[in-house]
Amino acid sequence: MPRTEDARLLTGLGRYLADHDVAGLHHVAFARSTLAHADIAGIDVAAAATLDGVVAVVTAADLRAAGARPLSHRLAPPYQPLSWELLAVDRVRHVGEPVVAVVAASRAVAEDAVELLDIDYRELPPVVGPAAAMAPGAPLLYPEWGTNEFVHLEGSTAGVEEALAAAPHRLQESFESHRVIGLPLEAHGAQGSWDPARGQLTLISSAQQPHQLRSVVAEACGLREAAVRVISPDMGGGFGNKQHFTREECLVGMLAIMTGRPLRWSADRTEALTASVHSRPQVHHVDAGFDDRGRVVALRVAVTSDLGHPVLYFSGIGPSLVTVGALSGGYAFPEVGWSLSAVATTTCPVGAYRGFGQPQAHLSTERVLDRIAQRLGVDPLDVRRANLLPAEPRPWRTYSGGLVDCGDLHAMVDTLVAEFGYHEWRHRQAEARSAGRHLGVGLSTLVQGTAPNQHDTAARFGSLETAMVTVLPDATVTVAVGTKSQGQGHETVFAQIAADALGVGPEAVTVADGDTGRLPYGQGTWGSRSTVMGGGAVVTACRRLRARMAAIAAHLGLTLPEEGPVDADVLAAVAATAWWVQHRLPPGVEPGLSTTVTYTPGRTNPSADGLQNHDETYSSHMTAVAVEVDPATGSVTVLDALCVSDCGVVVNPTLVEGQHQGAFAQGLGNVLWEEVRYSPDGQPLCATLLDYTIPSSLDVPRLRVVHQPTPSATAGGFRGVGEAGLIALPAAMVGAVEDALSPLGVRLNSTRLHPPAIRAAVRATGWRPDPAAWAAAGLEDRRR
Amino acid sequence: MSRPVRLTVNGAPASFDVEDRTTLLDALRDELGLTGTHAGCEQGACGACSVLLDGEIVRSCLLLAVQAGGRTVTTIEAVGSPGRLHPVQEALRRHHGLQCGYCTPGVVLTAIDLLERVADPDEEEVREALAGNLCRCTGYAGLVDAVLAAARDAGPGR
Amino acid sequence: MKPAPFAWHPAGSVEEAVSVLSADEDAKLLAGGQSLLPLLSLRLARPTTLVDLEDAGLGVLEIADGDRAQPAASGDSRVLVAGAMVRQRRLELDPLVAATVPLLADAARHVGFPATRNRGTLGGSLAHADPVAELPAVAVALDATVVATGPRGERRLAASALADGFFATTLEPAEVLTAVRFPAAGPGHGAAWCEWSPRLHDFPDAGVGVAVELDGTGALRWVGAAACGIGGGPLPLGDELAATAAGATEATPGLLRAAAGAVTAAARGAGDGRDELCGLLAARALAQAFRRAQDRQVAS
Repeated sequence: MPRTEDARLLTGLGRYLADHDVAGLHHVAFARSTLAHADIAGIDVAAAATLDGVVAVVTAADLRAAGARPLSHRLAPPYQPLSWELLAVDRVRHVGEPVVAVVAASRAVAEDAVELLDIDYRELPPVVGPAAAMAPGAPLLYPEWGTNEFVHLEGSTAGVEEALAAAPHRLQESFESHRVIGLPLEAHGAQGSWDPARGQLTLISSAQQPHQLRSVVAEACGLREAAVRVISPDMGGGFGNKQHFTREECLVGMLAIMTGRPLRWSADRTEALTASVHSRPQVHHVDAGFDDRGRVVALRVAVTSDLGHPVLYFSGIGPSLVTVGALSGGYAFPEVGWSLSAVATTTCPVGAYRGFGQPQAHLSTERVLDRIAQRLGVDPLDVRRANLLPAEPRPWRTYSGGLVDCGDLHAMVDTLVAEFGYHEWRHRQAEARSAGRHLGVGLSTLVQGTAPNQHDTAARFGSLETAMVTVLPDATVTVAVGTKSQGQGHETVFAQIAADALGVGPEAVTVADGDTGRLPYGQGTWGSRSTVMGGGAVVTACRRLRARMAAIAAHLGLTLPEEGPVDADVLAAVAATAWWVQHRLPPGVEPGLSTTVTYTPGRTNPSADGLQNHDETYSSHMTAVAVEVDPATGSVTVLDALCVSDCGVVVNPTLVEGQHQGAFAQGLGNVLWEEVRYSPDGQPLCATLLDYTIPSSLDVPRLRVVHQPTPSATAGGFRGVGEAGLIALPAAMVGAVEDALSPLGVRLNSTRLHPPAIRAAVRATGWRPDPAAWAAAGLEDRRR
Repeated sequence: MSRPVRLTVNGAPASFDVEDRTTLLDALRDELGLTGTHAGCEQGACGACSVLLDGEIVRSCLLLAVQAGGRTVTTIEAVGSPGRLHPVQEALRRHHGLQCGYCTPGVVLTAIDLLERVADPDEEEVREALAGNLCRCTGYAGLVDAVLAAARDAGPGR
Repeated sequence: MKPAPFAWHPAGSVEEAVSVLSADEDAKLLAGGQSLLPLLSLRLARPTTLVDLEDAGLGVLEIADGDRAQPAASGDSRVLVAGAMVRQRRLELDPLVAATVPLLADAARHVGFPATRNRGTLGGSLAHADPVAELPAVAVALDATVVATGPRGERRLAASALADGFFATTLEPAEVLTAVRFPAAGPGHGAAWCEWSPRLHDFPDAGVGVAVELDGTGALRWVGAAACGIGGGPLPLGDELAATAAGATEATPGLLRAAAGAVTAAARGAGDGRDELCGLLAARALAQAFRRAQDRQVAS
């Protein structure tokens, strides 16, 4: 079914953040730190403040005087204490940190004024990368911590050390995930307006979680939550980059209150790339023990995580905590131990991006299995089969407390082998090798947690979702839901879910999201949760309404079945009676046809041993990729890619396909072309889309998707799908590229598969291309 | 310093006063309220702001508004309407060639520009034509399918 | 990300542009703007005045008699005169360009995207002098002549004398690059532009253009070549290829290996293995140019 939102988006009538002009709208630009680490000795705003068109020039001191409150990560020890004001006070700790806010008649004038500011920085030594941060004598971001380590945590099953010591084989290696960014094509932004008569702040923000943003903005601005309304309009993508609650959003609220004018901040691309949220940088030191059959008997992973300047709320530690809980994936590793050292550096804050800590964990588990296959000289497929969860029991309890409720993984792998043509690809690979070409196959057998619950590690995250479903007197249906579509097509999906549950046509259903004025609370969209949680709330509300409708119908002498389509005349009679003729309702039945449901599957409560299942359910995705690598240039061409997917009940196959294709493209982009880079002195080297290069239509092939669904136990039976490719691809691609280059002896321990990196790895082996052969091979390539 | 600019936008005369430094992108959005043209990077790297200038595809962030004086500009607002989509828009809808929709207006205009020049493009030509329109959501599969289908549906006798 | 204020000055002639430039050392020329506008928006360029060449009469694209003996490409003494404001899209698609300066057409399709080639110009590309730009290297490879007009009138200089390091040229501050004169291809001519970029259609890590002229017996009589992406400006490679390929009648594996080796040596020092990449691209371009020259001879 095509999407209902498409007609407006295709015709330029979507209304994104920057499409909300109102009379008297002003614009905000920020003076952001140009240095990675410096004391602020003074700020002279005089020239900027007198520039024609400038309404306000605001510093941290001004904000404090106006009643702004600092933000805090709200974490207890052992996390280091940390709070921060909306603008930097006395010291800056990353390039891009906001120092002064300017409100002016246009963004251009606001930028003119920013240039007129005189900010006196006293440079301090930068801290770039975890190694530098943890080196003896390293400059400290927060001297009161006595270290740059934000937190050190450990966890283990009882027998890790013994199992490692007794293991027939050991491998010890390091694997690195490099820094990337979610990069929605529409950058973040917010627009505020203050109604002094009502004491009401309205904030339009391109935010993934409008309700939690309301909580945070209210607190930062010193308002009651009831005094703040947050609206998330049409969004040009999110991908986690718009999930945290930013200083800038709170600043827009404060500036609207302080100036009394409606105003907007739209991040430009440089702000988005250098001063929003980066993701993924982790190094894993892995120690694995395994037996002769390739079964892992124990896995120990020491994770070092670069948090950048950790001034994010919710805390950017979130993804790292997911990483250390997801090290066994869909594998029956009997003993797992981990440590996490998360360090602060003078770089952009690191936090959420689609996949949220799982890609790094999955990289290590898949690399370990590939290495075991190499060591034992067996097929990596067989090593996976030897380690995958057995069909029973369900749920399978993991070392970290996870209650994995996935389907039959072995059956999915069988499907993968058949549909991908695994053995045929191995045959093709052998033929290609004898012809001097470099083909490789990579595998990723992923079980991912979905609909996660972060309430212990990121304050103000519960595991619930709300929906209000109403059958109006004319028998049309409205659905309001607390999730927030960023392009996923929720208006269509939730309409389908509601229509199916209520027995009406989807065209009768209108879906609204992203407005705190419509629902008491909600959790927004992230973590592959929307269909599971929002869909669960919608389907639960619809079922309740349908029971009420059936009771009313019966009382009227009409027939309204428990399932399947409802007769239009019957529905009309029931709706009209429910709203307009209460005396004809059966006794005890609530009048009207509207209900608000707050839904939780309830599977993420802590258990007696202190562990917690952090995910309401799990989805499974078995992926194989075949690549050809040109060792001369380092370019990687994906020849084929296939995913066998279990995302539970599929509501709209087209949209699920779209999620798979999109995640696949991002996963591919992350490893083949993208990297957020810094100079040694902490200057960002990726400030434009010419430096941070995401893939184009020429770079991304089609992923083949095969569905093998098993319903989950959540309401509706959904499992979630949005992140699969992002988690699966880095591991699969590193495996495939290494496999392709294995005749040259290349080993890859990093997600950096960028052509220059591959070229360097190849050159290090001493291999050199034959120019004559290379020239001949490319004569027909019209793309180069 | 502001300067008057007169031009034709979407078939009708239009005029506004802008600073010389104002890009065509900002003038279309801020002066004419044509917010279907999107700012993705303001550096010419993403293609979200693509419009037709005298019938040719260009990036409105890489043109000053004053440079468009006396010329003809076509934006997404002149291409179909929700109730009456252009064949390229209809194909994108049918093939799930959009998700968030932010890149979509630029994609629609670029595809129209391609099909004006090449009636029957193959997949490679479509991918090449769209290479300057970055999309972060779809992975391009639906988008490429849609443009091929639009070309096919238009038939060889276009 | 908005430009700092400036005044836009549409110049009605080259002379008018020169006079504005002469009067204001912070004035800057606007040709296609496809590289300049991003710099303005990032406030990395801050001119007081932008002198727009759109209506300065620089859109000529025509064949003219050669004004000097062609270096070694003696098959045809005519030149293709391309005005500074000729769009890159036209270089890519105009049959006259493909017929007379095939290397220019072959390289132009790699410049940016159709949407930027519709605005981007030949003169803008040469004057901007981005080290990864294709067109300056094409001009060097073909030993084209650049025409510039300044306060003291018109002068001509070899394309290889235009580049002056990263984003810099030897043009005087008040000089306007008005045209480029490319030697026209003769019957034994073949050319190829080959480049390699991490993403397809990206700025290249390296690009090499090669043009060859075969004599009546099919032996290589002249070769011109240059690379982009290596160092601060176009890297001339004609001598390297002439030393290995002069007199050759086929792009044999041995010749290609020697050519790649010579070019790699000339590009030595380019990071990320781009020196070897340059050598490979030169070998591929030479092979392709050879084949096209042979095809052209058969056809004529």
